[in-house]
Amino acid sequence: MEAVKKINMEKRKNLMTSLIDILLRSGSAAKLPSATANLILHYWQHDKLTSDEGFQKLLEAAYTIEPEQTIELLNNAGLSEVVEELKK
Amino acid sequence: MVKFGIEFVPMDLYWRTTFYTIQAEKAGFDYVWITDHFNNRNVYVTLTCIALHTNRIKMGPGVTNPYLVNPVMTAQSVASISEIAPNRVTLGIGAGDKTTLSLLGVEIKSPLTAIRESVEIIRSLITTGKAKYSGKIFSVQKAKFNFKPKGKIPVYIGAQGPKMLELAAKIGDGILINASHPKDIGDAFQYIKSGAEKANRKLEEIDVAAYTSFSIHEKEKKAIKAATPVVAFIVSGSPEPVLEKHEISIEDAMAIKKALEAGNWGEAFSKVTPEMIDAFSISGTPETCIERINELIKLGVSQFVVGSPIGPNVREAIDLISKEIIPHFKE
Repeated sequence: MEAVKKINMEKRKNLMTSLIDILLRSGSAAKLPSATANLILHYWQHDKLTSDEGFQKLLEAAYTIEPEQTIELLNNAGLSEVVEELKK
Repeated sequence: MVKFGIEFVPMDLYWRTTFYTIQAEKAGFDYVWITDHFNNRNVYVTLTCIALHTNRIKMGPGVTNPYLVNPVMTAQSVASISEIAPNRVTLGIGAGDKTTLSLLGVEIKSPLTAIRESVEIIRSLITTGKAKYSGKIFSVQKAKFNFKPKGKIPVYIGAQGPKMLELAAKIGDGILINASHPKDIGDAFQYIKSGAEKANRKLEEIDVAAYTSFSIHEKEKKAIKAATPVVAFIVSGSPEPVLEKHEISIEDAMAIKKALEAGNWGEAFSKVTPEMIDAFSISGTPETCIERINELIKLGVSQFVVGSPIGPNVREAIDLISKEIIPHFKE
C-alpha cells in the first residue's frame, strides 16, 4: 500500500497500540488468517510493527477482523487515503 | 535478585498468547509458564510457537501431570522444544488438576510416587536420551531417543501439600508453590527447608517460585473485580484447613462452590469477600502489589509468577508491570 509509506513514524507509533488493541480485544479474531498472524508476531518480535511492511500487515489484520473500528480509527487520524486502499 | 515469571492459559488464540509472551519478554519477564489442560490448546504447540518468536525468555509447561501424559512423552516434548530454544526450556510437573482429570475418568493415584518416578524417567531421557526404569507406577523397558537432547532442562515441581513440598525440595531444580499469601508461602517454606535438609541440599540451589493469582490496575476496584472470578474458583476448591488458616467460613466457601456448580456465576462472584481476595490473590494498585511481592521475597521466594488473571486488560497489565513493578525489584 503506497499510502502507508506516507504515514510518518510518530503517527504510526500512536496508532500502533490502538490497532493492537483491536486485534487483542476483538471477538472476531479467529477470522485472522494464521499466515497474517504469524507475520505480525514476527514483526512484533523484531520491533518492526511500525516499519512499512509491519504497519501494513497490522492495518490489514485489524481491517480483516474489525473493519468498521479500523476505518473509524483511521478516519479520525486523517488517513482516509489509507482507508480507500484497504477497501480495494 | 528475584526473577519474574508470567502464566498464560492457552484458552485464547495461539497468536494472542504468543503476542503477550513477546510483550512479557520485552517487559523484562524471565519465565513464561503455560498451563496444561486437555480442554485448552495443547501446551507444547503453544510453547513451540513461543520458542520460535522469542529470544531470551525461559518457558515451560506450568504444570503438566504424569497421569494424562506419560513421562516418556513429556520428556520427548520438552527435549524437542529445547532443540528450538536451547537452555530456555523448563519443565513444570505436578499431580494435576483433580477437577479436569476427573472429567476424563483419570484418578490421581499415589501422587508422590508418580511424581518421583516421572522425574527420574524424564531426567534420564533429557540428559542421556535413554531410560530404563522399573517403578511402582511407571515402567520403561528400553526407551531411546533418535535425537540428542540439547541444553539443560530444569525440572520444577508444582506443590502445595507438605509431603509434595518436601519431595519437591529433595528432587526438584525448582518448586512452583500455588499460593499468593505470605501465610501459605511461609508454611510452605517449613516443608521445603525440611526436604532440602533431608536431601543434604542448600535452599539456594532450588528456585522457589510463588505461583500467584495476580491482578494489577491503577484503580484498585478494577484490579479486584478482575481477580474475583479466579478467587471464587480457588475458594471453592480449597481444602478446609486452608480456609480455616485464612479465617474464611466453610459455609461461605460452600455457598460459592454450589453457585459455581449450578452455573450461577453472578451469585458466586458476589459472595467473594475482600478477605478471600486478600488470601488467594495479589490484587490492587502497583503500590499494593509491590508491598505484597516484597513480603514473599522476604520469606525466601526467588521467582515471582504473575498468574491469572494478570489484570482487567492483559496488555495494559503487562505494560504496568514493566513500568512499575519489575524496575522496582531489578534496578
